[in-house]
Amino acid sequence: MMHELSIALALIDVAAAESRRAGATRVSRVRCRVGELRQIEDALLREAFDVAREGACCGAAELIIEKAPLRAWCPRCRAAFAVQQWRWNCPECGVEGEPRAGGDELELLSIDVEAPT
Amino acid sequence: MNIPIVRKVLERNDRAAAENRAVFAERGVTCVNVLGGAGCGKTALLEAVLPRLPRALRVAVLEGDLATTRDAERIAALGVPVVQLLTEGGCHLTANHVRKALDQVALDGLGLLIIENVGNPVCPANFDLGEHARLALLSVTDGDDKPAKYPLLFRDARMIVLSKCDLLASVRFDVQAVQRDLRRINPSAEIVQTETGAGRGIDQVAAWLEELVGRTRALPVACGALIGPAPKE
Repeated sequence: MMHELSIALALIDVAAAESRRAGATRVSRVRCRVGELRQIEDALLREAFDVAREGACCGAAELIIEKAPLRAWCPRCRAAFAVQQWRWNCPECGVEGEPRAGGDELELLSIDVEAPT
Repeated sequence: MNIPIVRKVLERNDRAAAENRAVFAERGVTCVNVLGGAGCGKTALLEAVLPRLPRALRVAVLEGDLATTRDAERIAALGVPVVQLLTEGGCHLTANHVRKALDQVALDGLGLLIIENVGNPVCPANFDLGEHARLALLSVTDGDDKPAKYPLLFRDARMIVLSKCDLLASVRFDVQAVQRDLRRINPSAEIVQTETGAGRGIDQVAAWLEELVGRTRALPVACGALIGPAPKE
């Protein structure tokens, strides 16, 4: 078992609690944000989500994964940029960027529910 | 109907971790989470460090493993109380695993609880166990690209051990490049090079553990309350 399954289960847990709070029984969409540092593979998370949601209120929900990159700040361009493939040099000017916070996000952002009847 | 939320996905684990932390605060126990890939030398480091800790500091170990009690037997051979935690296929320990295991640990008078996590450079770093500090290992035989590959493992560590440094001559491992990469994600961790055979760096790890225990004990007893009550669902 990879950690994607634990995370999918936790995601469904939180989504279910929020849908109960809204008085809904069915969730049609789950949107989450996953930081790159979490090393969660989209495909594995989707598979785990498919397994974990069985019988839960998210049974038919679409999973939307927003990625949050590792970020750095270019002191010359005075602009933030995403660190991709561990490349810490500014894509504009090549200067080495200063690390910035972030990239560790793991959040449920929103759910779409069918209005309670 | 769209409902915006923004809630941490692992909040249930975080709650259990906060409960563990409150237990540690109440009992005056310092807890360290030891992380690293399979075969990086976590158990070997403990075997080297545990005998160097002062006798007055009572230590116990929680051994997280997928299967077998081999690591636990190695720790028990040192006369250190050890509880084996088998995850039965799970790739990481959760705060709940630790909470259940705490029932089997004699916490009275205990000074330091060391949790050796499942050998895995990725998953365990995602799960807070309620520890006061993390110690992450990288062995020189693992390769110098690992801080870039597994940054979360090292980002929250207070001590980073570069293990098996006696093999530096035999492998391609650029210590300076590794330190530069580690500093990008973790500017403040203490980085130690160890050789368990020759004993290099072991005293530094032991001293760090002792100092950590001292600092944790100096916290107000009620510091568990600083973390706050569990949020209501």
